[in-house]
Amino acid sequence: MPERTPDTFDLDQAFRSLSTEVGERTASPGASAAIGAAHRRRTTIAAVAAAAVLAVAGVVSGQLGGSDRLSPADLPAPAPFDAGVLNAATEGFAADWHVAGPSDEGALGEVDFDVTCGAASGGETPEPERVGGNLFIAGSGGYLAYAVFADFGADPAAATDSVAEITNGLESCAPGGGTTTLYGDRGSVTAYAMSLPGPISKQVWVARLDNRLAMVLVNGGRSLPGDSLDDPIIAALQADASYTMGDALQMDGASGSASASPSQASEPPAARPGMVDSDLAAALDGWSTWADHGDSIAAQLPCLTASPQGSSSGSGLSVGTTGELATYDFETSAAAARGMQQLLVALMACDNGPWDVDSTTVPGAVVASHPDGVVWVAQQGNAMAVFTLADATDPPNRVKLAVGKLVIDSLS
Amino acid sequence: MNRSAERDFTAFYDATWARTVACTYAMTGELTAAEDLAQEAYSRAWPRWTALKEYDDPGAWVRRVATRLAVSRWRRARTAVNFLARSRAPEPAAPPSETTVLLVTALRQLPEAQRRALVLHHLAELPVAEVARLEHCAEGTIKARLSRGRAALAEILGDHTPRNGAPSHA
Repeated sequence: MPERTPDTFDLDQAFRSLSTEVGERTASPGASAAIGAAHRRRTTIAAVAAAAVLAVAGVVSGQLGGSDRLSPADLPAPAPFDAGVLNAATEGFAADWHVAGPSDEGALGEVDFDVTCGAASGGETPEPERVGGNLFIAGSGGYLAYAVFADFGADPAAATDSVAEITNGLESCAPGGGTTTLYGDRGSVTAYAMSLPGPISKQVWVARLDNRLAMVLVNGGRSLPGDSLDDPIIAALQADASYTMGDALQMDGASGSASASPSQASEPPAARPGMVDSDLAAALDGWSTWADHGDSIAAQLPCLTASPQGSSSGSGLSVGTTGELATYDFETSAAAARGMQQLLVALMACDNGPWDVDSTTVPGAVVASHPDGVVWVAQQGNAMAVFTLADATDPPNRVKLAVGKLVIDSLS
Repeated sequence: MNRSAERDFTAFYDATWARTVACTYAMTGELTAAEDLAQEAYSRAWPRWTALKEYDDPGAWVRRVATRLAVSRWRRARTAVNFLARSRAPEPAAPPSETTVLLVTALRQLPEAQRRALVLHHLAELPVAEVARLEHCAEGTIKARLSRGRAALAEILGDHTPRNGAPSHA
């Protein structure tokens, strides 16, 4: 409760009156609107694409029969899905592919992004553990592509509720069905040629590899060979770099619509939620000397004193006695990824003793320990969060995971 | 989450909405922006509702997030531009009472740091330590801001408020 002091007027009464009057004057959008906004935020274009992938992959996998299980050596080597892949696939009729940026806004405005023919516009879609992707534009030929990758972790069945709806949607746009390449019983890639009026070609590849799913759309004047992207997609599904969301798709998702108009992509992201003491207390669950009350200890952990290279802005927040959450913005997601890499390299090469970097325990985040403290680092799109916990070291995996989730959430 | 959870959340939302908006309104002085901030906080609460509903006071979590969003709004020019761009056209409404106008006007005359401290502590009912963490400063600094802010408010409002507490029309 607020502290009471012998003031010359009753401030608490004034605030109570304010609360009463605001309550009478404000018209709330309603809980359903808040729930809807939260759902739409989850139903990003990536999640919808992933659901579509799962839907189709589910159908395809149901048609498989006793294929040998492929070992990693039988699959194409992990590699990101980048402009080079598209240059190779479209050689002879499109070139100079690049990640879409603000200067491409005019080209994006003419593209129909609805790959599910409207079938996935409602309902709650499954929420992958990791989602990434990017939007590409060809410098010549008027082509556009986007690739979305989703990792459903240990629960691929989470999206099965959407299977029938989304599959029907895809098939209504591709009446001839798709052509499928099998990767043993671990996965498949199916290419659909969407039926569109006019000369524009729109192809969609949907792929599954174990619990990881992908969708790639290419939109342009001429169709690609149906199997031209099969191996690159399977390769990208195995690459961790695929699960970082590029700026263009992230902004698209933030607009709250699965088939959002690119013109909506200019809206800046909303303010970030930070981290709440009680959430951190639950995540730490008694581990470390951290407390939610008491004087904040502004610890200078080794090799963490400077802002990440390339960041355009940053803000900090003390969390409890020994926690500090810093978030940084970058001009592009690529710059943010570089900033994160450079930070981790600096930690591993720290003059005061190298940090022990763990990049495998927490999906979507890296945890590093030093005798003086622990740091969690996460990057999403063009933002990066760095959470430091001083006076603690070597957290157990349950703490790494729980705090890592909070750090990732702090960027949402 | 199921329909039962949605009903619980709706009841929670309806019960706490006004107070959350009051916090953000006192910090921003703009009702539309205050409502946007509050709604954003509830949107972030829903995905966490399963855990939040077990809290002693889930409303405190929402008010903390809402006030943090308001603090961020001040701190980040880009965010301010964002809110400006998203602002809805003001809906026709009865004018606020003179008391509210006086209080919000008085708050806006205070240095921002004092205003934030007063609202976070007295309206959002955050403890001094939590306000200090939000503001990145020592608890003693917050106590000083509260003291100075209260005194300044008393002086400003004292010029307009007669001894019975009703606003002066003089």
